[in-house]
Amino acid sequence: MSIIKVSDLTYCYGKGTPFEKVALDNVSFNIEKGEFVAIIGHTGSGKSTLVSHLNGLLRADSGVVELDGENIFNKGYDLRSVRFRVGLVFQYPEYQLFEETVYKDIAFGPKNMGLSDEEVRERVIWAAKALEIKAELLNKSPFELSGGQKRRVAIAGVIAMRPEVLVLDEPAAGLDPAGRDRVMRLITDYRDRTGSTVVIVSHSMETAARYADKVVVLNNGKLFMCGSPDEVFSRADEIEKIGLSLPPVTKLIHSLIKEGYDLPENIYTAHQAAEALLSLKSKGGER
Amino acid sequence: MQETLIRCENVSFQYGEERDNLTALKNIDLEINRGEFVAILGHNGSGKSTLAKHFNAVLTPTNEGRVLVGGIDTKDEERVFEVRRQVGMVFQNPDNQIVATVVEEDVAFAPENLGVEPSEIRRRVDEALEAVGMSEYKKHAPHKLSGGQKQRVAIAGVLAMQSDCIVLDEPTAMLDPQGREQVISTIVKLAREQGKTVVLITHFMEEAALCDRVIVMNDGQILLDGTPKEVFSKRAELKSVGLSVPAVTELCAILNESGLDISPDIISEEECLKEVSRVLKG
Repeated sequence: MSIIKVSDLTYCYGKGTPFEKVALDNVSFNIEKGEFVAIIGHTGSGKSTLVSHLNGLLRADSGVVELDGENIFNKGYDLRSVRFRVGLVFQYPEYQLFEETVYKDIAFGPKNMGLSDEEVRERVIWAAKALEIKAELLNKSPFELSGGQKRRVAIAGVIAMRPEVLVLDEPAAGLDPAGRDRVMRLITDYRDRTGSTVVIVSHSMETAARYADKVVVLNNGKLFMCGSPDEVFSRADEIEKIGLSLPPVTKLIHSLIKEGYDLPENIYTAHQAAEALLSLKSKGGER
Repeated sequence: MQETLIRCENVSFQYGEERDNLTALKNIDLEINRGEFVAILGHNGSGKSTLAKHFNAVLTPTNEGRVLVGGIDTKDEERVFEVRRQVGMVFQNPDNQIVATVVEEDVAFAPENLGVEPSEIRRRVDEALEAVGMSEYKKHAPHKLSGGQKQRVAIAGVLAMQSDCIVLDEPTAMLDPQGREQVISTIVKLAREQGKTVVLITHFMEEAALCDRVIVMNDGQILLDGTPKEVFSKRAELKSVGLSVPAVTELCAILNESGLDISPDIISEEECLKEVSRVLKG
């Protein structure tokens, strides 16, 4: 069942001014309940504009965003409740930490939902645990933390609202390799444990290929492709034409396929590639 | 003859007195030669940015250690501008380092402050924008440029100072693949064709693989220092400090461990394709 349905979404920045720019042009796709969706596209393709519609931060010029079958842009629809049901984590969310303590920062969302102190407390502890934030950090100022810790606190602040849909814009950007893997692992664990729907915006094809059930590719504000990672990345040439690049090992395997080797197209990590090459080699490796 | 441009002697640095447990650098000894192209790797908090800030006297050692840039001690406050003229810095966030409302004025900002003649400024700005491939944008408003374009304008600003050395602190961290490609190819060109000394701090192993030398920081100390091939062949050690190796290096290493006759110190995609093709045919 679709939890979010986007139909014919069109949005224009600076409408009626000389700087008018169509950021989204008739975009339609569905997000199923519990699905892990990656939205990819180069800068200016409309990714961030699109996710800002998913919780009603931006109002479409035309088109519809349905949450559980109801158009959130309808007159009288309680947009405030959408903000709790669809949690949005912006790019570099650590710049938005503002409270005196980590605890208060994570508690900000649940408090605004009108929960009792007891419930807020329970949520904060649960969210901190889910993001591997140690209890002794909760009373520290968020500004004393490292970059990776701050990032996790910012994400905890959103999941503490227990949104049905968690939307993250570039959650791993700017982190070191171990930090990137950790944030992605925690998001995946969270999804597996709660059954929530997760939408990430990413420049990294590798991230999309590794974690997502569905990949949505945007180009110049239009929906360019939408499908499983295998479906999308099998069309490598088209993807490269719109300025996105494939993971290095995928490129390698595709070059080998062009040379005539019998290898699967859907390879994104070094481990997958090694496995495929070893199995080819054991079969004799002939073209 | 190799000439040392930056020399660190027993450099330690501690942030703030009240947080005395935070020693960011511990007795670093390091030399960077003129014309070298060096990458500095390390996980968040390993001290790599702190070290880089010592290269142009934004920070100075908190112990008796010293940093010499072209022979000048960075602790010598009288000569700090000479140091900064030699070593320019480019930071991570493209939006935090642009000061003017027109691209060419932004590039002219540093030489103007150095009191350079207007006709000379004109020449330097044009040259600098040419070198980073941004000449056609010289009359544009910087805030309307893409992240990769903004970073190239920031690099042009350093070039216009005629610095010998450019230190870039994660210049591509906030960029998309296209922007990253633009910035990296600009950096490679400056190092390879213009002979600039370049220090590139990065979290992207593929970028480090393009340099002549890779320094790995951990816990305020230098853990590894060598050519990309030497450093990336220490896969386990890198992983233990939260880093990784380029994906193609990882692939060749796994194949090598699985008994295939494949070189384990591959660092570029082309080399990898060649090696794998050879092994498949063999």
